[in-house]
Amino acid sequence: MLEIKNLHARVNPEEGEAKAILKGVDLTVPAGEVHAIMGPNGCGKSTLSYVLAGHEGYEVTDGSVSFLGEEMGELEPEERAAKGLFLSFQYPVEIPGVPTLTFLKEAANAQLKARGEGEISAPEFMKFARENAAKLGISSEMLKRPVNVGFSGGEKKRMEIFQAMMLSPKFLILDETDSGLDIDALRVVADGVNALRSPERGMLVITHYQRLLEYLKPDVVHVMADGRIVKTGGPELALELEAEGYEKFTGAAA
Amino acid sequence: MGVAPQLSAFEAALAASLPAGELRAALETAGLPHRRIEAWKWSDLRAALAKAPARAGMLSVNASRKADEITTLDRQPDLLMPRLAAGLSEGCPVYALKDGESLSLDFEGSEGASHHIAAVNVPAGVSATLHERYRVVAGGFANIALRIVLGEGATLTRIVEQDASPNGVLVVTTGIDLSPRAKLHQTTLGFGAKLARLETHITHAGEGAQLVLGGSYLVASGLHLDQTGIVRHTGTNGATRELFKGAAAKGGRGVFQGKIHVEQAAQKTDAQMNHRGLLLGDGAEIYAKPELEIYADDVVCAHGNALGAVDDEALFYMRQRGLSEARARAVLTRSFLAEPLDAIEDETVREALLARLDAALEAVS
Amino acid sequence: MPAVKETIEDVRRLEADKYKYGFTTEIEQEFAPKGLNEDIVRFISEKKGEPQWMLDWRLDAYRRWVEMEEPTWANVHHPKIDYQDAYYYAAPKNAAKYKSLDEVPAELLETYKKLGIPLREAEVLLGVEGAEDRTAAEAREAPKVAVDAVFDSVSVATTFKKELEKAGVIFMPISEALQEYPDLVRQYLGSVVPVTDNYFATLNSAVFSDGSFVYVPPGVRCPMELSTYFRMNAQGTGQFERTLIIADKGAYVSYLEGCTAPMRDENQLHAAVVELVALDDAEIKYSTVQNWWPGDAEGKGGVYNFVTKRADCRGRNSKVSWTQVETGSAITWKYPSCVLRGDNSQGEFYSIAVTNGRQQADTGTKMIHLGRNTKSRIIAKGISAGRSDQTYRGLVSVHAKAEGARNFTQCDSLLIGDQCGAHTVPYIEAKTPKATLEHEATTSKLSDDQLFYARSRGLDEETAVALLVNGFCREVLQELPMEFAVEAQALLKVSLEGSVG
Repeated sequence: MLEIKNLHARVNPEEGEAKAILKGVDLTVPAGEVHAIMGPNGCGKSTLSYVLAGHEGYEVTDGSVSFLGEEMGELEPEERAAKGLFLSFQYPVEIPGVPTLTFLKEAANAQLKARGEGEISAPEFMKFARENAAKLGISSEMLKRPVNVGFSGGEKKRMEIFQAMMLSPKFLILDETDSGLDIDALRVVADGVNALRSPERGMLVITHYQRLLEYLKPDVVHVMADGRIVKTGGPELALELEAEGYEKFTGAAA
Repeated sequence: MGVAPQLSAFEAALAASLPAGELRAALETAGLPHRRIEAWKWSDLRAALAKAPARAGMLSVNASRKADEITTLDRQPDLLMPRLAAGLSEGCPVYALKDGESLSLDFEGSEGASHHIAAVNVPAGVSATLHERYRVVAGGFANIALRIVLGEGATLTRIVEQDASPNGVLVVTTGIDLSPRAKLHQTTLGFGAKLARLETHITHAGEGAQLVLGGSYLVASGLHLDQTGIVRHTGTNGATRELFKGAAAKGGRGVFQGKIHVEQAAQKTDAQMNHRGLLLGDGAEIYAKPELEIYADDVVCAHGNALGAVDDEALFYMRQRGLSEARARAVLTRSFLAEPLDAIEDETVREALLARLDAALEAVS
Repeated sequence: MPAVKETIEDVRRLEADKYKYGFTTEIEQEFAPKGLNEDIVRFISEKKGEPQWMLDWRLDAYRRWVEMEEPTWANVHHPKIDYQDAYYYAAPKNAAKYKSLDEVPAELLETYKKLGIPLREAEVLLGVEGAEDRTAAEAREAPKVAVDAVFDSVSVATTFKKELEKAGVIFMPISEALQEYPDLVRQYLGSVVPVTDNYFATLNSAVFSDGSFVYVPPGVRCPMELSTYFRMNAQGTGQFERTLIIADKGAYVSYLEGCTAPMRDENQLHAAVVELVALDDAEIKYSTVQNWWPGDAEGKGGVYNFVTKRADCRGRNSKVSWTQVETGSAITWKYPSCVLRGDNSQGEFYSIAVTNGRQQADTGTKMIHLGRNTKSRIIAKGISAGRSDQTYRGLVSVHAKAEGARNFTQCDSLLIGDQCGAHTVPYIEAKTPKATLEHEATTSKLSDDQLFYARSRGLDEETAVALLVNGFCREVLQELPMEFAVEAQALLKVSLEGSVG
């Protein structure tokens, strides 16, 4: 479903120092599977998620990303979104003045339109929103607020999963979704993510800790160090990392 | 003060229409305000009118009701423009607002130069609304001076709309007195002119008086809007909140000059002023001068000013959710500019102003 | 509450007799005749043995100055200055070298001691034979500061000259540089602050008598801090020093400047010009502790400090940082600025200004963004006490081609007592959508709660105030070189003495 080959990327020189961050990432996530990427801070995990989503701050210098058999190449962020790629941000952005539901409805319709499908009606959308909000314990008051404004770190992450449910993407990238969550919030979010698992949907879970993976039970675990995948294994790899730390892998990469 | 300027034909005609005296002499010595005058640094009125036709125009005032009286009262701020307006007007219509009243004054300047003064009184304890609208046709110059007095405990909601007036020039100078415990909530929505200046001088008596100034502006190519506001706190326990937000499209120019002056007697003043500007394209310009002048020590005063483009991270976030770049930009710009208008309590008025903002945004994008 | 009330009372009673630099030195001086005219300009130039082009430059400046009007836009008030009622040149008569410290007049030694200049350095400054080598040897272990002292109109001496020469750094009085490196001086003099820049800069161009010249060659990191002490001594003199610092490609220099003056009833005029030029990848750090005599509690006497300081970040990736602690002068009128011409160049302005008694200060900075990705940062802290008035005035201007420019400005004012004023007048101009400019300003008073808290922990009021003021200024103090930071903190305390019990 998602195929990453020899991906090299660096910070866009216009945005700062042109530093290489991804140095040949190879990764394939088939439909229906959940893969986790673990790695120490600064190994390039978050950069990978930004590059996959098409952020202009990074420049792909080599390699390729194909999604559903199609090259992502120079696609704009919104084109990737319309193809079904959803990024749950590590730091969801606050957008004052734009109510959450207004924003989501506009986003949903933009994606439908891009795919040549008909718009969703307002009552239908509202019904769907109420259902999903209930699953995540999100109040109607929260939905009325501007996007992410005045939310705690945990609430923001919950809203990200809510948005994923509303937009029904084909592939989810969860970037440090567990950071800033207490144990209760973590369970709610994990339940939400698990509800989104399906044979047609792929997921890439980026995390520093093994904690979230206990709930999500990934099919495959990758270790990333210095811009490359240095080891791939089953769920037991996450436990190994938790117990032994990243040193032996960072050493291997150097 | 340096060498006397060479008066333009426009200024000479203006001077000639005044009776001999101090005001005429002042105009003849200094000319109209220009960029070398500190308070007009970014709004060169002289230059904007340098080639204007030197003939008298007409200012039509469409008021929702008749004035209560016409006086010769001239209590304008001691500045050249309002003094000229007073000196060249026939008389001053005075409106005394009644409780619950909503007065609308619609000003339209024709070709040529026109001047007008008016006064609005909000007696003690009265709560009322004043809704003004200004426009100037191409080739016109309208100079208007308003006096607004709020009595003790009076409440006034003031809405000011300034229509885009390409090739017109507009100066509106308003002097406002805020008595103890009075409340003024003023909101402006402006789109600029060849040069438009909305200048407000507020004397804030404190003692529980509250002032809320909000303003949104959007200036398209070739348009210039200057919002200048001076708030002078003279008594204790006064509160002021200012929020101005604006956007300049390619070739548009926005000017914000705000000053909070706290006299020594105005202890416990709580004043905050904020201006935020978005530059929407190359060739857009925004100038800001947020001033504090403080002579009392037990006060909390702050101002903030931020100029820049739409936030890149918010743009990316919205695009990741599927919105096109243009659409994301429009939504962000709209929500940015709507904030001061959102504070308008009257839903009909608020929606009407938001609709005008939307139409203007549509036109510049 | 009582703390502040007492503060106010004390401020009313304030007698500014705590100025520790308010001494005069009784030594024989050589003066130019009083007043200003072309002959005086010629006299100064001749005294310095200047080349013809320099004299022509001065005369041109003088002729332009005569046609100019004194500016009135600053928020300061003073009686009209009579420019004919001052001496434009004063120099210690005896410039002979001394064989040992014993021969040095006690008055001069005392002066240096009061200025806080270490004895060894004083020896060098005074030209005691062999002193320079001894000092250099001793300094190998301790951190080094090369000092140039300008006493009224002339530069007395420069320490560490040899060691600097080894590194290729030129640090000498500008009058000497005009003799030894006339081409360098000619290339850069007036290239940052043009002759006609403003009234006081033009006056300076006509009559400047001395000042420091620094040139750091390409790729050289100046091995020590360079420092100049300015001292106005003679009665009825003005001081018009001119400083020119050039950091060539990839060079780095840190420069410190300290100023003091004796207590006098009259107003002394100080109209200096400082020009900094940073070429590609060069960095200049310029720190000032200005403590000119501020005048007495009634506003009598004190220095009029009308100074033009500007840096031209001419090269790519160049950087200039201005840090100033301004506690002195009756009137300060000064805006150390950066013209950010080179792409990626950076300008910084860190300022603490304290006014007490009847002092007036109108100070701030200008950041002119011309190049792409230029960055500027302004942190200004103003403390007003007594019956003083203080204005922050600043300009941030981003031109149409300065894509990617960024500015952050923070201006905070602290009021001590209700007889003073604090004002903020920023001008902000943006002409490209690809820039970000942020400005924040606050005005508040010294917190009674914090004062009480500190006192309940055993601090006396004066110490508590000093502590709180230091906290308020922290972001700026930490930008100062270490030796200066200590001096600056002490100075803050002294300047605010009398504002509390």
